[in-house]
Amino acid sequence: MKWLAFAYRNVLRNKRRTLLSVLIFSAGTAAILSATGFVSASFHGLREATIAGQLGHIQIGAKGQFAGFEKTPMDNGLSQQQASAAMTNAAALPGVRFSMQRVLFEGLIAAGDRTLAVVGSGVEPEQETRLSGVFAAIVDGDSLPVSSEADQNKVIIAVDLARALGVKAGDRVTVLATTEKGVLNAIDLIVSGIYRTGIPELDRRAIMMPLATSQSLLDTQRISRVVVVLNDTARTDAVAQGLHARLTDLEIKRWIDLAPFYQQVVTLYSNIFGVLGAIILIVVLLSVSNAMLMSLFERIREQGTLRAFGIPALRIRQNFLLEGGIVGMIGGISGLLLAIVLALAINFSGIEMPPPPGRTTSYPLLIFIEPTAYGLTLLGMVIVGVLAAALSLISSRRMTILEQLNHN
Amino acid sequence: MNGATSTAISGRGLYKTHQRGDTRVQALNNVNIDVAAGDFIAICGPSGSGKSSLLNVLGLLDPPAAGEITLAGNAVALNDERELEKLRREHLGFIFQNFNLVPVLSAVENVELPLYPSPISARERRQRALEVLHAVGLAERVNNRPNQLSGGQQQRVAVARALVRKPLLVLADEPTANLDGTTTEDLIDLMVKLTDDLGTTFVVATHDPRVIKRARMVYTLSDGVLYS
Ligand SMILES: Nc1ncnc2c1ncn2[C@@H]1O[C@H](COP(=O)(O)OP(=O)(O)O)[C@@H](O)[C@H]1O
Ligand SMILES: [Mg+2]
Repeated sequence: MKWLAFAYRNVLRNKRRTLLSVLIFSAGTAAILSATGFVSASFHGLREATIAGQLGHIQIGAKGQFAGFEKTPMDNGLSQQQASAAMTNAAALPGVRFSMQRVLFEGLIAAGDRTLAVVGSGVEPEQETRLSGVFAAIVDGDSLPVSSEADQNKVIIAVDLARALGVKAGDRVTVLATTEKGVLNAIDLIVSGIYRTGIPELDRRAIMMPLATSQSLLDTQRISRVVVVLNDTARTDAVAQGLHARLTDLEIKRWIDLAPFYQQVVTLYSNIFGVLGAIILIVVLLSVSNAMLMSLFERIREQGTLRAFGIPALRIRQNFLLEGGIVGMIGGISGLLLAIVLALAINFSGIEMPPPPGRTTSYPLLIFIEPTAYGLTLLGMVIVGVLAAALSLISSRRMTILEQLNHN
Repeated sequence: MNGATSTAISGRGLYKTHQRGDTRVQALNNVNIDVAAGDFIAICGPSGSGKSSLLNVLGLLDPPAAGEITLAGNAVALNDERELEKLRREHLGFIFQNFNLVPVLSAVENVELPLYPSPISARERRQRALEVLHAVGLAERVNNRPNQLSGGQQQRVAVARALVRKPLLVLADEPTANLDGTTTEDLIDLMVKLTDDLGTTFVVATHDPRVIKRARMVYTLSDGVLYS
């Protein structure tokens, strides 16, 4: 305690000596916390956008469904019994908000004299809206009809595809696809609206229509997938396990299994920011140890005096390490406060970031304040403080008591 | 404490040489000295005569090239660094020409420092430091930092620090060199008083005639040779 108090006085009562180191620690801490707060906000945003925009939290399909290849359309689809069993089981699990059905198919779309390939989905617009708020970002016309009373012969077309076809809301198009039995079928639909997916490839190829309409196009009673939506993304693994146990003959995929790019992005950015953080730590370490070397140099005679009075040299060095830790702690705490202020200022300023690669929509710049990151960074700064002190001890020459007493 | 009968420290056949570039300086040349407990000894001599060298050797801060030292009746193992550290801690106190107070500590905190290695409570440490500060006449300034004290006051704090462990012997190397006339007299008065009241033993290296005049015993160093 007395040694700690001594170290503490040395740190706090020589403001000039301490200030530089504290500033360095503070800047380093704020930089690291802002960077990690930004990255984790980005990860969170990307994750939730991926889930809400398309995937849902969990998807259930027949064996082979997720491999992508079907001998005939809906070959790997779910029968009505399977689909309703999946939905009933999902509803029984805690944390499940709701589930919905989708039909996925490939086909052609024709308008006037143009015909283009499409990836189509049959969806339940009302449920899709519950998943994503605005389930399709309509740029012209209306979304799919929510009520089942309304005319179901409607389609919405992705923005680049609509441009390529030269159609707008209200126009008529013909959609062609192979039925479950392998026969070519065509239906005429009215373009209810044009939408933007946010993903360039899909903007060129995607169409959506009501579930029942897609089933009559494919002449099937089946659906492709059941999409399960949770209250909280953190429940995904638990619910997936529950579904696995109950639906042994079906395939259960979590959103992350269906979004390999998410893992890649997370790994890439974690590595980039890990290296960045390490560089910041090293810069802090070196500049602080330099500042501490000056402080050590100023106190050579003081050390000689303490040693003359029989205080062990080891004890004096330990105390210097203690001082380093205290400086790291003070600098870390002030950097932490700085990071909070920065994060709040940025979060409330509503700055928009340009669209990430593979996306066409911008997103708000957010910085998360995460207790774990804050705690770990503070701990890291205390350690760096001790290391910086150790480094300056190592790089300063060992002196005899007399050399120290006669210094200057 | 009856100083006349026991020897605080004695040195026999002490030699010390310093290397300066190519030349070797004989700082101590076969010095023999006995310091009785409770004595107030002045070691005088011109600058460069070896006063500091002798005090550093006697203070166990710098081992002699040859010779023996007996402290509190025991021969000192001069090459055992930890043993020397322990002996300094237990038996010796130091006063320096430029005070050497820790600038970030108040007077009382400075005086407490030598007590840090002792297993005593914070309260007792503070109590003892205050007592000594009282004895050196600084009861009013205990919470002042060195830069808020005059030179004379700083040196009194240093005296208190040297005394706080109740050492057998206090070594003072030119303690008045940085003080003006009246403060020098005051400090000498203080040391004489402490010798009389507490039985403290002082060995003072000095060329200040005011100190020499008041010492009970005066040794003179000349080119490393000690004359009594
Ligand atoms: N560390 C040292 N290196 C080289 N020479 C020294 C050193 N310390 C003292 N000397 C020399 O030893 C002699 C005695 O010095 P010192 O003991 O300091 O004398 P005093 O204290 O009486 O002035 C002087 O010639 C001095 O220059
Ligand atoms: Mg000298």
